[in-house]
Amino acid sequence: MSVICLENVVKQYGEVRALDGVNLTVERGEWLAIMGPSGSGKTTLLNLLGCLDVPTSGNVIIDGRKVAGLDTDGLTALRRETIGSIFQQFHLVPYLSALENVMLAQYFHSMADAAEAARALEAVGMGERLHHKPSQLSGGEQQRVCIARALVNYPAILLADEPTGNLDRANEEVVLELIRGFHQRGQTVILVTHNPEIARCADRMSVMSYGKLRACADASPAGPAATGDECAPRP
Amino acid sequence: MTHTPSFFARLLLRSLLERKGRVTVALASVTLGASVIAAFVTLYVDVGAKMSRELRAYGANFVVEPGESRRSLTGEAEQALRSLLPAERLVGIQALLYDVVELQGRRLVAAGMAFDQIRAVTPYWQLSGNDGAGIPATGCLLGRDAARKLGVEPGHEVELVMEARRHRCAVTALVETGGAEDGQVFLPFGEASTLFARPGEIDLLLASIIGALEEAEGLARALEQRAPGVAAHPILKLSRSEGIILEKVRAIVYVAVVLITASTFVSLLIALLAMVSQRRREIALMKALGATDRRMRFHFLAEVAITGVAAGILGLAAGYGLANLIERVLFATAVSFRWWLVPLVPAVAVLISAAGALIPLRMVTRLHPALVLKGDY
Ligand SMILES: Nc1ncnc2c1ncn2[C@@H]1O[C@H](COP(=O)(O)OP(=O)(O)OP(=O)(O)O)[C@@H](O)[C@H]1O
Ligand SMILES: [Mg+2]
Repeated sequence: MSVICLENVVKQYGEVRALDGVNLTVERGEWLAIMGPSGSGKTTLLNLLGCLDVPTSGNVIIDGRKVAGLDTDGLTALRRETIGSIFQQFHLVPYLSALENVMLAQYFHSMADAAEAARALEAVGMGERLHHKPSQLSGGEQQRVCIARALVNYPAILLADEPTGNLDRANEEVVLELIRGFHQRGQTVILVTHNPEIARCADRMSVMSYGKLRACADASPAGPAATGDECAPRP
Repeated sequence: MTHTPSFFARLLLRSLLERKGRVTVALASVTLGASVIAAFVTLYVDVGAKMSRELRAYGANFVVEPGESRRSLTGEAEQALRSLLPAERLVGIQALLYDVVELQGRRLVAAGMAFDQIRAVTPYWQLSGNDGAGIPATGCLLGRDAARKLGVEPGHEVELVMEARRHRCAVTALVETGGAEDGQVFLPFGEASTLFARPGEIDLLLASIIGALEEAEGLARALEQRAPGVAAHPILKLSRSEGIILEKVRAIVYVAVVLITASTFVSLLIALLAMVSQRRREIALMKALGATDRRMRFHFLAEVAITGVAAGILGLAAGYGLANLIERVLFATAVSFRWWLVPLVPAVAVLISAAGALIPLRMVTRLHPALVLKGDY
């Protein structure tokens, strides 16, 4: 069963047609990379997939549920139950510690559980930094906290909008490795990136251009069974 | 929706501590407002009674005289007046009996009166020669001019003569009023009745009462009904101006409370608006993490309520102090602490806070997580 299904989705911002009839089907356990130039509508698409926004027209079906009929609270509930998000700018709450930032996601999901939040941080290698504030963490560490926060509620889908955009090579590797681990446990990943090498880690790749999404024929050396090992190393 | 109290509390605490500066500003503005409101409400309640009592210092404001068909009043009129007015609104009542006596061969007006009512009914009387010992209950008081003419000093014995009757008494103090009293002699009412041979009679009742002019006029009519043959009336000029002053003070208090409430509301609103726009990102993030609008409002209101309650309690204390200060300056007395202000002032502070939070709260609700998270806000 497809976990994501978009049919002729349009998103209009006044004059700007950010999404112009997007069709997309993502199977459970798939890793899809989306590339495309700036302003082509990638973030807009992720916002729809993340139930942060609703389309102007067309159908969005997430985890078998139609987004169109949902009110704000319904969208929030669907997002809470299904989606984990990581962002290029991390978006951590500055006055909460790493542990508390992860607990925040638990708290709004169901209930805060410090022990489990700590385990999630250990899983991303942040077990030694539980009580640091974001300002006391490096960019890579902040992004790892974000990943722990995104994964702590066991979402069916991980949405990542340029998660390595602000990171150096080493941290990029760490983040990719964590995403890969999540994917290997059979979860779905949608990753937006400008970096073709990162995109190649995905099962398949699509390119966004002027609000239209098309499957990428040339840039996908890896089949659906691809794992991280087949990622091309950088020159 | 499961609330986890401990994490909820932790979040609130962190959030408030994070914004110490802004929270302090909001707290200060509500505290200030609450304290001034507490002070003014205290004054509003206190000032009526206090003003009236203070104005009583200018003397009696209610007169009862014999009606046209009568030569004098009786104790009945005084009883009727006492029964018509609650004790706390009757500051004092003076029954007077006048006649002319001879003292050392000179004729002068003598008045029988209750010495213990002088303070309440004719507080402007200045007594001298009794070493500040207060007003004696016995002996007699002599007007200053009369004393000078007769060469009498405090402590001397004098003899008042009327027809064949004589009354000896020691002059305990001299009276100075700047009026006719300076040439008169005063003795206790019972002794005057005997000397004048007019038992049970009263020439004039002077009373000092608390209340507005209309009430005093109502009282006069009621008294004339209850005790026929008497003529009662407020001393109009004083009562009316007193009523006007009271009205004015109340109006000022009322306007001040409204203005202060409004200005507190506005400054709080500004502080909260600034706070919400500063926190747009954080609010959007929480929504993105699955917080419903209701929950965000709840969080926001909890922060505001904590600030409001704290400000209310501080404001209550400060307001009581302020009211005390004002009363001490205006009336040289302390205010009585009003227990009903204890729940009222914090409640008002919370209400102002909640009202000030309404518009920022709508901002919180309307904030779209996608827009804020996407851009470089
Ligand atoms: N809230 C909005 N109001 C108006 N126009 C918007 C809004 N959000 C996005 N757009 C427009 O929609 C188009 C797609 O924006 P989007 O953020 O999806 O681009 P993107 O592919 O994520 O770009 P980038 O790679 O720079 O992040 C852009 O032209 C943008 O200006
Ligand atoms: Mg983008």
